[in-house]
Amino acid sequence: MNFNDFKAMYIFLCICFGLAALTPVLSIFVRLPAGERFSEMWILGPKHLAEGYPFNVLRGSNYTVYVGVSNHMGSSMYYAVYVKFRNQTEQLPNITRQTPSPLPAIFEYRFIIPDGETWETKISFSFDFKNASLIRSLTIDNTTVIVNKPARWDSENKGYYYQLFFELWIYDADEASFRFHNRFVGIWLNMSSIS
Amino acid sequence: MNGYIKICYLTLLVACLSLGSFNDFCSGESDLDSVLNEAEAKLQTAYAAVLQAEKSGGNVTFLVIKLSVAASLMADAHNAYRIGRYEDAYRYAVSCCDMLDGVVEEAEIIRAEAIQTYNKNMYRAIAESSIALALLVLCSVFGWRFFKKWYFRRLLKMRPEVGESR
Repeated sequence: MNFNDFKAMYIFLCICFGLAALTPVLSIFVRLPAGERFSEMWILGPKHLAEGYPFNVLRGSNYTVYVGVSNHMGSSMYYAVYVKFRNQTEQLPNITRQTPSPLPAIFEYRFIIPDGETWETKISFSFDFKNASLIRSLTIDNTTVIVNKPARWDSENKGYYYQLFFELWIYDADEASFRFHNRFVGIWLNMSSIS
Repeated sequence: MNGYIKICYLTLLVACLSLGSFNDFCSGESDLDSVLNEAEAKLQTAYAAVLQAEKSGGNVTFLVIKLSVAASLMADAHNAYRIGRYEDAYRYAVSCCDMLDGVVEEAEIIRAEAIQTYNKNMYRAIAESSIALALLVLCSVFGWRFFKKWYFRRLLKMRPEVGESR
């Protein structure tokens, strides 16, 4: 090693020690880019597994599902879950256009969860009906809501089908209002056996 | 004639009572709407304040729990309102407002404390880094001088000596 090599090595070591000395200040002023920000939403069956979802609805029976939301948005978030009920001809939310279903909510949940935390609730529901082609009311968590929802006979799948779905909305502090968070989960229900 | 007056009197009485109860109903409904709006606005303001405190680095765990309970009461109020249980809706909205009492003030205190702590940490970090850098500059200058002297002394010692020939 000649003198110039030693000089270069000395300068390199000085720079390393300089950066080490600046670490406390750098940790305050330099913000590393945050990871992807998103919210998760899921629906589980009565055994808290992704199976055994209620499908064939029977007269006078109570059904259970679990709906959960997880926050990875980087700060505490204010969410709303709107429960909606539709027949096969009514609109679902449009994920491509990021628009919610135009149907009115029949029930809602609201909660605020810190970043990295999870909210989950057990939802019990049952139906009151005139016949399979007309659902009169839906009882969710002991709250009965009149729906009067008719359905057409689905000749392809041979049944009267309805869908219970849950839309996730998030509170936008800048706009001071809730907006559809482009996530929804739902289950299909076959009401044919109740007629 | 007497019977006719009686019928008129009763009709008028029924009409007045109906009008009164209709007014009561309307004012009750508008009361409920205003309480619901007030609770909604209070929740939004409290959430914004807690979010600010959280972004400043404050510990808002307790406030978030309080807010979440208030949000749940707000949802209960809307659910009750949706099915026409107006008394329950009113009760839930009032409970929501009560739950949020003092949250904004607490959030502001936490935010102020967090900003103070941040500033204190920042000044300490700047002072520590400045001292460390100054020491490093001094040490490197003196160290380099010392190294250069040592290096050339060592180099001179290694130089072959030439003897005089007679």
